[in-house]
Amino acid sequence: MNRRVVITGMGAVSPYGRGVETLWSGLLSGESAMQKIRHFDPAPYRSGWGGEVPREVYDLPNERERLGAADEDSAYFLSMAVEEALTMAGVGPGFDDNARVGCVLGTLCAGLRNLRDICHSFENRLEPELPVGASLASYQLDHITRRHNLTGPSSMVSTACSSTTDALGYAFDLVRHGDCDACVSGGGDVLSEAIHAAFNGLQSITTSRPRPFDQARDGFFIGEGAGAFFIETLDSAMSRGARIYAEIVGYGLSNTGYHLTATSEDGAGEALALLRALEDAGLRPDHIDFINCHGTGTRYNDGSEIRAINHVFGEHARNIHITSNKASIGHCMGVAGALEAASTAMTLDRQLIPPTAHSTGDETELVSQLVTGEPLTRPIRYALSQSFGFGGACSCIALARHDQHTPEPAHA
Amino acid sequence: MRDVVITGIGVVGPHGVGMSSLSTSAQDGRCAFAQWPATADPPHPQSRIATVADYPKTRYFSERHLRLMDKAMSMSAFAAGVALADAGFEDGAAPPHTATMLGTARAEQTSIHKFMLPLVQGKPERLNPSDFPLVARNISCGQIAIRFALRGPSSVLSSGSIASIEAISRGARLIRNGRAEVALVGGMEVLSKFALYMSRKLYGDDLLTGKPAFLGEQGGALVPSEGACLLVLESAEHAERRQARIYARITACAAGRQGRGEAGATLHACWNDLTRSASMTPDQVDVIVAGSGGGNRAHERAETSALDRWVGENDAAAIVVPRSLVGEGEAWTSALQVACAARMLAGDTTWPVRDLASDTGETLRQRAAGGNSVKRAALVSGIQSQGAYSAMLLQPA
Repeated sequence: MNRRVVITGMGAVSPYGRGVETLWSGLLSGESAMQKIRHFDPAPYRSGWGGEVPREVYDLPNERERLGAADEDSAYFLSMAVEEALTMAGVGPGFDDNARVGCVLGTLCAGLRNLRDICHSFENRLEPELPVGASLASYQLDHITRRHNLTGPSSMVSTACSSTTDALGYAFDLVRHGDCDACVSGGGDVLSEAIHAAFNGLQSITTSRPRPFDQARDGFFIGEGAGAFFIETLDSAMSRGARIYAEIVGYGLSNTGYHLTATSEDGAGEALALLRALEDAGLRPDHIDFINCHGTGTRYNDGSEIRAINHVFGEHARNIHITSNKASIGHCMGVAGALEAASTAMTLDRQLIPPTAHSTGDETELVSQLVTGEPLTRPIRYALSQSFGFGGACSCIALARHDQHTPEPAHA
Repeated sequence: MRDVVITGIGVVGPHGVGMSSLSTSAQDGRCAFAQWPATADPPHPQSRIATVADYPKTRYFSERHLRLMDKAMSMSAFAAGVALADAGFEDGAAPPHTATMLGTARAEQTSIHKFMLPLVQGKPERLNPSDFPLVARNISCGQIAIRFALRGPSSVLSSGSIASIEAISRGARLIRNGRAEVALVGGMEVLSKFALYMSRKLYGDDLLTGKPAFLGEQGGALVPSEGACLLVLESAEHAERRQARIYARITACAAGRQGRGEAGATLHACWNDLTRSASMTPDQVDVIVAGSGGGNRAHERAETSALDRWVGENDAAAIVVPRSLVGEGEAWTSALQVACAARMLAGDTTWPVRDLASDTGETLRQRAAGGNSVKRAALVSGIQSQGAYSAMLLQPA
């Protein structure tokens, strides 16, 4: 069984604030949400830049209690994003048992703030103040499935910074193969001091401004938030007259098998994820109009990502427009993929590409057209959104305008 | 749609290395539980844990490499090597596009604690960058990919104790749909003083009676466990082409979450649907390899209720509970359930369930006595404390 699958609802909480439209208008503005970190004292670190969710979202009166997510920040963000996605799709918020809506999420840092407190309790032989379960990666999955009574297949992907792109692909599999008719996907993540400290130690955090694909780049800042999707079969969406933002047409995963933390020298392992996404979607490289890049703005990532694109697309790489959202919202770790896929779906829906903030795109190996300065209006039929992470994890999702896609499935 | 078969099993656990030692322990009625360390605040004087003792770590890594690895990484990479060798792939000879799909509930916690310690102590300048990668839950998977040169689709699931069954199902799906020929799948968990502290907080009252109790209503004590269990899955055509030994076929998978209905009835319905989707009838299932952990927690009682009904309706079904031999190892023991089912379809008779609860029903008692042959099908029941479940049907080669 291979059914067509579309996105009919999206939700976001980002360093710009709450809501997909807030994310989208922030990205189009070309202004970065980077600020001095306020959640912890960044003074001991080389850089104190971060992209935290605005204070007013953290402190919305009674909102944590209403959402039932008082104990863990990423679950709180995700609860808001899922609620927005379901509202946008015009479904839920609660489902009957027999609806069997699935749920596949992803995260890297969820629970880490709580886990730090628990480590403190352990070291000092104290009772932890927070429920220990709220430090587990699976906490937000349990919370969201319980809150909305999602009784279909569920899972939590944790492949570092490629987690939620991978999760969206997994959710797509479950719906297209008939394991469920609809699925919630996405994830929530927080800016953890431990992760900020570690990336500082690796000199990956910018001390100036993030500039992906620019020779003057000096790294990224860490963001946080949540992204959520409601996906369903095309038939289901059409029959209930739902608005369709994009169609998911394929996805690809790979492991570079190269290094535990570094992206590959030649981009070959990363390219495999892109090639598998194209094959899965039944697309040729020259079908692709736009790529929302991982685009961290580090020397290693930018280099291997450009080489992967050049390898996969050859001459056509020159025709492809690319952008990186990370200069604007930071590297949101496990949820980077979800927020960037939401941005890609908006690009397909609005036929508009947000610029890569701060960058001139003067990287010598770059042949694709990096969108800088102002948003760019272009006809875009097919797009990729790709994410790479520690442990060699690579994931890529292929999206299309559903009204312009002619399916040619590569697999039975 | 292609058939998916299991051709390799690699296990390192409290019983030692490999399935044969586990099978021998099971038949002899031995288990490898040790006293809960006095330094880790035992919840009860009789509390036990199940830890991995020595195994030939340097088979796949040098001492120098091992010093940079944590226990989750070294155990899972060792199990990966054993599974690949068991499948007949010489070291480094597995197909380069082999997929890697692992599951863990919380194998990363010990390394996160170690990494965070300087922050907790107010000395951030002492954070060790070389410990940083170990914070990522997929880092063991990355190490396996590097060591065995595997660049296929790769993912790690962290959805609690059934994460490994989900990973196995996902690997099978990739093969079934032609996106991989071979997949290395499974799960791992790790114990440490910090992990035991977390176990105490997470399991709470389910540690307090001192002794496990399976398949009943009365509460028993969980035995926290560590280990790694990896399997090699292949398309049947690929396995046949290279004349590989086949343990079993994976013929159907199902998953869901408990809703508002009665939990036992939901599981029972899932198992019925599973057999139907494999064009079988429930009475053709020779064994259910259950996920019961020995605490008779709510989700375990739901499974027991489903088992009770199932054995009442189907005369043939025996019951095996791997956790009665190796403890509650969350995702690693869920993967072991699949390995046990595969072994039994390949010739092992069912193993007796140790430590049945005093209130276990008579029919369940009889079906858990061991010694049954498994000829037609084995059903694996994965259950999780937050209501998720996953099931898998295996049939002979």
